[in-house]
Amino acid sequence: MKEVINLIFSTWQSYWNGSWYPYLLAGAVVFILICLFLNGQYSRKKYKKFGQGPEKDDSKSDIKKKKSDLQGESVIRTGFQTENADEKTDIEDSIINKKKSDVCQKDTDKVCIEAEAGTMVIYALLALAAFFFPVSAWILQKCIGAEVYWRVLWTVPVVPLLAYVGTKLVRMPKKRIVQAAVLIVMLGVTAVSGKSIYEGNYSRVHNYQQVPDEVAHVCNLINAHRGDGDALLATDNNLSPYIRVYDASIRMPYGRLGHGAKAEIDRTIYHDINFESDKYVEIAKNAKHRGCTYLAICIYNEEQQSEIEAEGYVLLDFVNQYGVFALEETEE
Amino acid sequence: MSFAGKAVLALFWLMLVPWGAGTLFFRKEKKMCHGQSFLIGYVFLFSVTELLTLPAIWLKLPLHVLSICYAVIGVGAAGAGLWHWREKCLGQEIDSSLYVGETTETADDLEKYLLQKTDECLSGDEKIKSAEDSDAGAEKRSWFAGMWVNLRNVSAWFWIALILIAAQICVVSLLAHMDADDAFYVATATTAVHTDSVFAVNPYTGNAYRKLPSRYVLSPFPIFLAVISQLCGGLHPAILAHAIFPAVFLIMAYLTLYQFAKLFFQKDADARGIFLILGCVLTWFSGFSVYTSGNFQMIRIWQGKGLLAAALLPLSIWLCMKIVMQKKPEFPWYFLLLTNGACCLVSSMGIMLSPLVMGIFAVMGAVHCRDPKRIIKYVLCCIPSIVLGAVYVLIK
Repeated sequence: MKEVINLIFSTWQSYWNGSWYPYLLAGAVVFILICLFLNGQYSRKKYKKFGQGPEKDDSKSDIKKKKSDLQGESVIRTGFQTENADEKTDIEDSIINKKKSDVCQKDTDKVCIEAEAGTMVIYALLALAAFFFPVSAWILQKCIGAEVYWRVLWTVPVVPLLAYVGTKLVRMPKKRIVQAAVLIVMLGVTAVSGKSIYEGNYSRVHNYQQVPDEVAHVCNLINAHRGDGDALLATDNNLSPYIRVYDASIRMPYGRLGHGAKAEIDRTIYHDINFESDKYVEIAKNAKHRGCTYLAICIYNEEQQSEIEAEGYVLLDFVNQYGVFALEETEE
Repeated sequence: MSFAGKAVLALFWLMLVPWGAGTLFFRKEKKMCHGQSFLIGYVFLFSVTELLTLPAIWLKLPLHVLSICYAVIGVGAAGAGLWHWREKCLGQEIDSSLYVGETTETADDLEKYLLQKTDECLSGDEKIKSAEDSDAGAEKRSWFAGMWVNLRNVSAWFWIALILIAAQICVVSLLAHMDADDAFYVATATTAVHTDSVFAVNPYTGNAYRKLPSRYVLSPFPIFLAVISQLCGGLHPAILAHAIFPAVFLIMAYLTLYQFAKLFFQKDADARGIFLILGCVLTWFSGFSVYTSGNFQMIRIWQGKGLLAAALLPLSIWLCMKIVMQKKPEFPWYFLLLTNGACCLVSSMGIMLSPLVMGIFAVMGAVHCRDPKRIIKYVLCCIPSIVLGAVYVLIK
């Protein structure tokens, strides 16, 4: 159980990674709960404070003002000078009353809106309870795996709750210009609290498949060389995850992190090519033995290149640091 | 086929078909929201993909058979939905509130409402006279006129939010993010298309599977990518995944967020716009760790787990608020069943997390509405997760 608890807290810390978002979330929860409490006690009075703008309240007076106009106007438009005119007026009255009651209902609607936010807060608290409570955490860790336990936090609606409270705060002042100023402050707080996604996550590449350009060039070199022939490529862990994303016709003895390796020799090639910088002879020998028709490997000096060529591979070309070699037999 | 032709096909299969299929589920509703149709259309199509793909894997069917089945169901559902939508639009007087999706509270609307109601109260002759006297064209608006009125009424905040969302879509679609997990998720699709098989070949190597990967095979979202790739005239799955899926799924994620805005600020368009702006910015600044749902949304939404975190779990929450927490549910309960099926398709994590979300709401709903039957309905809605969980234990 101690391990479970340790994992809960380490997961929580690594998920937020020192950002202020959890504090903002806590503040949002407290804000909504306070609003709920206040509105539960003094609902209408308080809602005027948290109201959504002056134009809303105008509709009540509009109704009163329009009522008399409309009665006359609708009589003109629809030819109401009939024997059942009184009946029609009663119907109109009932409609107007219904509409008025609907408008009066708006205050209650606001209570409902607060209640919706309150429901979501209660849900979020229960989801967090499921995350933190050791027994439920143990069950969840068993079901989804301890290494991805952090994904339980996806069930907490962080963005909707924070956006809701932010919107309420922005809409507090009546003037639009002040609202805009408050919004800018809120956006600033958000920017300071988190970290932009853009930093270090995106790059520009020159292929539509959006894989590293090196991968695209290596695959294009191989395809230009092999014609209709088969291709079995051994390469390092920088290229291997994307080779078959770009071109699934190129086979590999192993994939990302050595996944899919069938035989011991596959694992040996993977290990040597990724972690042994001085075993070029062994790499080339094993690759040839395994039937790898192509090798894409970092070449730092001529000696390394000649060691590979000595095993029957010929250099097709360099792609940045990578030398792309083809087994000579494939040319015959 | 030219690239433009493939792009048009992608637009058809990823935008029009889900929206059309979704309208089928709102055919009886007086108010129809196109965003909700789009979302429900997607969860329906994802559930269909799950239902079709799992048998296809075990029966070792070729991919093109699966694609044909998906196309027939998708086009059939979309066609039926569009037909119903057309009937609805043409067959009745179009009330402007239908387009807005809500009643507005201004005095002008009240006037319109009153005139309409009084018209309804008149006898047939009076109606004819009334119609002659009044300008019939003003009462009956075409669909496009209604859309135009809607556009004119859109809040300035909402336009700002749309610009931010469009900027995010441009960044995510046009710039590349290298994620090594693509070695499985996207390569499974490229392999399926290349070999015309469904989960028969190991994407890491290109060799036949000796044993199916039990953790992934029950959530074959890459096969959805492969199916769409085939249906788009052979558009490369990597292009589809990296350039087109992010655009479509970001729209889906923000449509889901907009449903929350409508839930909280039903009658305040300005507040909804502000809510979206804040949502956009909060998501954009979620880069403080690689684990957050915002991070998954912005950098790898084409992977099923990214879609789960960005759209389907929030959608589950919203649907639960509308169904489980309401004494009189606004939508049918089977929407939750479809959503659970969709979560199961996109990620093995969805098989567990979707019932967790719905379960918490089921308990809350049962207490709130004093209706224990909600627990039974919840269990029924989680049938896909229960069945797949049992299958996972068997094949593990």
